[in-house]
Amino acid sequence: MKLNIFNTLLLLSALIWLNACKNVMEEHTEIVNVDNTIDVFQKVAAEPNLSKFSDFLRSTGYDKLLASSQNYTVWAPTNDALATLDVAISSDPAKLKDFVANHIALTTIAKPKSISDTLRVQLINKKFASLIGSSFEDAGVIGNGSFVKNGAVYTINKAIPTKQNIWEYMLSSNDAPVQTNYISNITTMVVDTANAVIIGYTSLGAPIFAPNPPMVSRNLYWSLVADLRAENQQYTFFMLQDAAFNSETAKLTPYFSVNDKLGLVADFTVKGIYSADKLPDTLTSTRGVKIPVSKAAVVKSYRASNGIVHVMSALPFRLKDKIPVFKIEGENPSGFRSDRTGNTYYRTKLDNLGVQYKDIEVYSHGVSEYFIRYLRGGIPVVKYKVYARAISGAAGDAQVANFTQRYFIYNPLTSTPTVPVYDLFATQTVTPLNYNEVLLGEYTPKQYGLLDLRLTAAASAAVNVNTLILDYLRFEPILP
Amino acid sequence: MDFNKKVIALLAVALLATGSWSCKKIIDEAPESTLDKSNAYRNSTDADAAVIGIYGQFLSLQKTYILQNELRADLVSVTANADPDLKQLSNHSATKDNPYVDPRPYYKVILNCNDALKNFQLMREDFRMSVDEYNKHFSDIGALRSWIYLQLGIQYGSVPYITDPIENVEDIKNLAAHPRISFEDLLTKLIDFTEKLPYKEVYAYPTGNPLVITIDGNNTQKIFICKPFVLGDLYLWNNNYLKAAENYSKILNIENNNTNINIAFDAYKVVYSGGSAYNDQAVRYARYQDESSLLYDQGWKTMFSAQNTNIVWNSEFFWGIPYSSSFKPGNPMIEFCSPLYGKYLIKPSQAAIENWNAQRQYSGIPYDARGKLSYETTASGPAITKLIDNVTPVTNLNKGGKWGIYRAALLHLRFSEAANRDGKTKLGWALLNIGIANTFYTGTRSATGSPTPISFEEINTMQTPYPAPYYLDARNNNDYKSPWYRNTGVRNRAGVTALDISLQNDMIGLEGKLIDEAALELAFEGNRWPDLVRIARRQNNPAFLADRVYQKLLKDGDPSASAARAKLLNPANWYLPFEWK
Repeated sequence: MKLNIFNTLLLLSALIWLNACKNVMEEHTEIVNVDNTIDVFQKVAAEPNLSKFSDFLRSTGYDKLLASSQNYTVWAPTNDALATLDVAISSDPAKLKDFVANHIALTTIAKPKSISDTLRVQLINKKFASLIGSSFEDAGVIGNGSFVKNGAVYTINKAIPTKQNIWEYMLSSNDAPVQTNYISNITTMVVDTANAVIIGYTSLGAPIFAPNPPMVSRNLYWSLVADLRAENQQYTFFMLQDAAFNSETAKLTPYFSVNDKLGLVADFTVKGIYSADKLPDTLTSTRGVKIPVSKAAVVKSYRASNGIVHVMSALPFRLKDKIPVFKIEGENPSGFRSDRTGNTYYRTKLDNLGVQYKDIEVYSHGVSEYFIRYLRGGIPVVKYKVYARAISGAAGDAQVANFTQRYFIYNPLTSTPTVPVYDLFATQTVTPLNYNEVLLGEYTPKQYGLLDLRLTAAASAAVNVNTLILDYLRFEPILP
Repeated sequence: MDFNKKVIALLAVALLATGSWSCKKIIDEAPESTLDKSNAYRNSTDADAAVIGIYGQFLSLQKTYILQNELRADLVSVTANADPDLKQLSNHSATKDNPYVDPRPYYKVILNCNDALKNFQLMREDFRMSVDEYNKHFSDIGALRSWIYLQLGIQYGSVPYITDPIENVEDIKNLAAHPRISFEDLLTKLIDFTEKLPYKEVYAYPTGNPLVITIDGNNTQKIFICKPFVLGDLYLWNNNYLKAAENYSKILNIENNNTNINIAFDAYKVVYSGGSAYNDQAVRYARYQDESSLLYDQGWKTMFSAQNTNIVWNSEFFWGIPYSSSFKPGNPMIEFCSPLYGKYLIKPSQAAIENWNAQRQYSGIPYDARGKLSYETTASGPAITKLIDNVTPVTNLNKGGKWGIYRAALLHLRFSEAANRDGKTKLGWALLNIGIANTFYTGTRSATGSPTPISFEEINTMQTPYPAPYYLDARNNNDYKSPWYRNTGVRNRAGVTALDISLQNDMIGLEGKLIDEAALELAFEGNRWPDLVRIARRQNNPAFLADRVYQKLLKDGDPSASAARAKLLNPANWYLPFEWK
C-alpha cells in the first residue's frame, strides 16, 4: 500500500516535471494538425474561398514552386479581400508576381501563440513581414493555419501589396524634393570589386586591381548614416519639406559651410520604428544627436517595408546638439614624430578625488621638438574655448619639475602639398599635481573638416625639459 | 569391521595425510608475480620506494587541501557550474555526506605513513638499513604525517590520532571506535613527536642521496617536506612564538653560506629584482607607470609557471610537487579552475578581486598587479590561473603543473607573525613592507631617498637590533654585502606602497595586515582558511573569520551570507563534521 502511494506520487511528480519542461521556444515552433497527403498548392487550390489567389499562383508560376520539396508558408487572401485589389497590380504580370511573392515565405511557420508574440519573417520577394499575434502585417489571420506535407497555409482577410523600402519611397515620393534631390546625389565612385581584375595582393592581404578598374557609384548616405535599402533593418526616417529644409540648412551654413546639408541630413535617421502616434518629443539619431520632434509637424507618414517615413513640416534642431563639445584623449594618439615606444607610457592613475584617469606621457625620449599627433574629422567652423588637462608629478611620475609643451595646429590655407604649415596655437606650462583643466585659448578652425594637432615638446633633448603629458583636450564651442 | 575395510580406511587416512603435507608446501611457496609484505622492506632502496610511493599518494590530497582551505574561506567562490556539494562547502552548510568533507583521504595517507614508519624501525633494528638512512627516511615520513594531522586538526577540530600501523582488515573496522582528541591535545602530541624526529634539516635528503635526482625534467630535492616549516607552523598554532621563529629562521638563513653568492643572497629572502633569474620574483613592467606593459613571462608570475629545475622557482619555493604531463594523475586543479580545459567550478571571489583593487602601486597604477597575475578574465568570468600556471601552457593533452606548498613569501609572513607576537613588531613590518635595510637604517640618505651611509655607525643600523632568531643582517655599502642586504619586503617586491609606519608599534593591527597581505600574495594557494582560523582563535575573535566569509558571500550575492556569519561566530562551527562512514 505504502509502495503504491509512493509510486503514484512519483508518477505525478514526473508528469509535473515533464509539463514544466515544455520550453518557450518549442511552443513557438510547434506544429500540429499535419496533413501529409497534399502539398501547399493543392491545399490552396482546394479551398473555394481562395480560388482567386490560386489562380494568381497558377498565372505567376508559383504553383510549381509550392508543389516542390522545400517547405513554404502561404498567407492567402480570401476572394473578398482580392476583389478590391488595385487593377494596376493584377493587370501587370511583373507586379502581380511580386504581389504574390509578398505572401509566401520559404519555411514552415507556426502562428504566434499569444497576442504579443512577434515574429519577423523573410518573404520570397526579400521583404520582411511582421507577425504579431494573429495578424500578418495589416491583415488578420482567419482561423488556424493548416499544415500540409511541405508547409503551411493561412487564410487572411486582406491583401498585402508589396511595400517600398524607405530608400525606394524617398526616391519615388515628391514630399521633400530638395532633400531627396540632395541625398540621392551625394555619391562617390568606388571600385567595382565584383568586376575588377585582381592582379595581386599587398603584404596586408588587400587586393591590387589592374589599372583603370571599373568604377560604380555609391551613395554616401548608405555608409555615413544608414543603408536605408536594407530590408532586414528597421528605421524611422524623416523627410523635411522644402521650406523647413532650406531654413534648417541656412542655420548650419556658417558652421558647416558646403557640408551644411550633409550636417543636416546626417541626423534624419533613427533606429527602430516610431509610428506617428507614438513619437516621443525627442529622438536620438543613429550617430547620437538629439532630434526634437513635434507630432503636430507630421504632415504624413508612410509605413515602408523596412521602417517608417515621416514627412515633416518642421524639425528644428538645436545648434548645441549639432555642434557639440568634443574631447581629444591624450592616450589615443594618431601618430608620433618617431618611434619612442620605450619612453611612451600609457598611464592609469587616480586623481586627487580618487577618480581613475588614463593619459599619455613621453618621458626622457631625447628628441628635440618631439611631437604626438592627434587627428579628428568633421570639425565645424566655430570659435572654441580649448581646455587642456595635463597632470605631472603624481605617484610614480619622475617628472616633478615644471615643463612647457606646445600645441600646433595644421593650417590648410597656408600649407602647400609639399610644405605643411602648423601654426602655434598655445604654449602650456605644466606644473606638478595640477588636476584642473587649463584654458589654452580660443581657436577657430580655418575651414570645415579635419583638425590636425601636434602636441610638441620643448626644443631641447634634455630629460625633464622635453616631457609631454596629456590627459585630454576639451573643445567647447561658443554658440550664439 | 573386516580386515579389508580396515586396510582401506588406513590407506585413505595415509593418503589424506600425505596430501595435506604436500598442500602445505604449495601455500608456503612465495608468490612470483605479487609482492608479499615480508619482501617489501628489505633494504634502503625499498625504503626509498616506500617514500616515493607515499608522496605519490600524498599528491591526491591537493584537491581536498585547496578546496577545504580556499573555498571555505573568503578568496574563492563557486561558479554557476559548481555542484551543490561545492556550494555547501563555500557557504558553510556542508553536511557529513558531502564528499568534500570526507576525512578518509587524509587517513589513507596517514595509515601508509604509519606502516612505513613501523617498518623503518624494524629495518634499523635488523640492520637492513643504516642509522643515518633511518634517521632521514623516518623523519621525512614522520614530518609529513604531522603535516597531514595538522591539516586534520584545522579542518575537523578533534580527530583520532592514530600512529600504529594497521595490517589487517579487522583493524580498519575498529578505527571508527578510536578515541578523538582535541585540537589542543593534537598540537601538543604533534609538537612532541615532530620535535623528537632524529633529522630536522631544511632539505629532507642532502644532495648525493639516491632520492635526490632529476627525472623527467623535474628535480626531486624539494618534493619532500621541509621539516622546520612544519615545526614552525605547529609552534605558531600553539602560540609558542619564539620556537616558531627559531624554526622559520632556520630556513631563512639556510643558504647564507652557499658558495653561489646569488643563492646566498636571493634564496628565500624576498629580494628586489636585480636582473638575474635568482631574483626575478618581483612584479615587473617593461615601462614603469604603463599598465599595459605588465610582464607575464618574467617576474612574479614565473614563480608559479617555471619548472622546479628553474632558478626562479628554486629561489622562492622549498616544498612543491610537480605533476607530469606524461603521467597520471595530472594537475587536478585544471578541472576546477579552467574554463577551457576543465569544468570551471571555482573562481576568485569578488572580495579577493576587490582586495587587489584596493592597493596602490608606487608607479601610480591604482591596483595590485598580483591580481592580474593570479587570475585572468575570460568570457566565462574570472578564472584562477595561479594553480594551473605551467611553462608549457595547459591543454587537453598537457595537464602538467605543480602543487606548490611552501615558499619564501609564505615563510616571511609566518615568521613576521611570530616575530610580531614576540614583541618584534618592527621586524614584522620590515619583512612585510620595505625590507630590513630600508626599515632599520637611520643614517644619511641621498636626494632620492636611498641610503648613503657615511660611517660604520650608520652602516650598522642596517641590521635588526635583536638576538637570534630575530637577527637579520642587511648591512651593505659598495665594499661589503651581508646576507640580507637584498631583502625588500613582500609588498615592495610586488610594487605596492608600504603600509603606515604607525603599525610598527601596533601588534594587533600588524597581525591583521599580515593576514590581509597573505590574501594578496598567497591567494588560492591553500593557506587562507588556516590563516583565518589561527588568528581568530588566537585573538579569541570569531568575527575576524566570520566577517571575511560573510563579505565574500555577500558580494557574490549568496542569500545565506548572514546565516553563515552567525554560524561562524561560534568557534565550534569552524570545524567540519568528522564521519568515518
